[in-house]
Amino acid sequence: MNEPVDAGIHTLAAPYALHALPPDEVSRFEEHLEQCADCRIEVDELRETAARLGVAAAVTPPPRMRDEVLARVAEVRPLPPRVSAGEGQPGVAAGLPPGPAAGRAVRRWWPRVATGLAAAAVAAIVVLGIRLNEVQSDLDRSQQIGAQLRQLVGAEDMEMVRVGSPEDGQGTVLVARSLDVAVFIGDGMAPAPAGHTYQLWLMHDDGGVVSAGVLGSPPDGHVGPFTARGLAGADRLGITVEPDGGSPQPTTDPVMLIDLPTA
Amino acid sequence: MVTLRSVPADEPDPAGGPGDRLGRLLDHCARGDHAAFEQVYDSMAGPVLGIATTVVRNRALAEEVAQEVLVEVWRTASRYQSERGSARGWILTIAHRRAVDRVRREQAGSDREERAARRDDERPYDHVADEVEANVEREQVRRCLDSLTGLQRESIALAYYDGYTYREVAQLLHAPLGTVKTRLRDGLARLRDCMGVGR
Repeated sequence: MNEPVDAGIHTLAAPYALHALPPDEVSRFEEHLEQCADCRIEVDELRETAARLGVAAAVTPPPRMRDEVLARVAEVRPLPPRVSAGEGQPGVAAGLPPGPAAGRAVRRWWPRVATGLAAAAVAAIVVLGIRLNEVQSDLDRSQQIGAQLRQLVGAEDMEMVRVGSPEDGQGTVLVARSLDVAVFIGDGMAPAPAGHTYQLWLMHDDGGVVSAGVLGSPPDGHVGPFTARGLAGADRLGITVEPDGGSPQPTTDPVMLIDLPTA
Repeated sequence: MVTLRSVPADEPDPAGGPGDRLGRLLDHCARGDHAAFEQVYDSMAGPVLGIATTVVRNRALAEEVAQEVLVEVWRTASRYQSERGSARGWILTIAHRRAVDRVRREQAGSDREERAARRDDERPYDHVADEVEANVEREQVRRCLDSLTGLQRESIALAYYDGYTYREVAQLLHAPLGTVKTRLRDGLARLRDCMGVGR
């Protein structure tokens, strides 16, 4: 039996700090955490306490483990710091599914109704340069298309658009119409449901929608960098959840919608 | 035979804080400083592997988990926020979460129940006398655990050391959910006060 949502939700702080909540209750409690500063403090303290229990379990690792870890680390670049708008991050793990509010906000935009509303719900366009360092770091994640991305960043008309937040799923798009290229990078995106994938769409100002490619389902919240071409006439990018393999046309409401800068 | 290893003596205030040596090392890791990571490794590999071993049981799997955790620490060092707790707490939280995720993935329902039935009743703090190096902090953990009621201690051990959800703990102990939640909360709060965790 499900208990009422607010009944004793505070008592979940301890099981949460002990990683003893089942997944559905984790998301419910994390929603609560977003609004409950006291709970965040309590969780932090209880985690700290639980960690001491772990110290009591320390064992001596085999020497080869050190070599192996150091070798692996040598091939991994540390993540850049978060420099997004909000100061303190909420006391929740990244990678949550989009909240219900975000879902409602985008719901009616598909297919291409209420263009004006869309603009209001999409984050402001961030002009090239403001967060270039951060973008550059994101870009480095993919060596394969690194060169292409650098070319893109070097384009005079390149602009960057970012929507969402790292906690709830964030999309970053770099657009250079002179190169006819848009690159999408997703962060903190919830894994698509089993048997499903994210799919990227180019939405045209005449109402047409064209697939820009299937993005897969991110185990770690990262999607892309993914390159979309054929921007002529496209004024927005949308992302939907589709059955594995993708769909010829979108079959669900978009989870993310991004206004592309005009030419 | 498992030998336990003490936490390095140069670990300062266990409650951590901005002056935390590990925290400063994580700062350096975020900038790509491999020498700093080696120090983090030397301080934390023991506890990380210890948690993984306790939760996962299987030594090979535990090492795999521990390696993943340590690489994740390096990769996400920039995400550590000193105002939210000690660097050690942050690392061990990652370790515990990963270990629990792993054991839940590895074990299907019936398997888990069977494991519960023949659960090893020995806990790390039971070995203090013969295996554990004299260690102020470990002694403190043991003393604090001893100060809990039996039911609080059992609930916390099943959740933390064995990786059961509180719903599973309730079933294992034949106790109502609300009771288990209360035990976990009161027990952890008592441990927190006993260990002097606070900010």
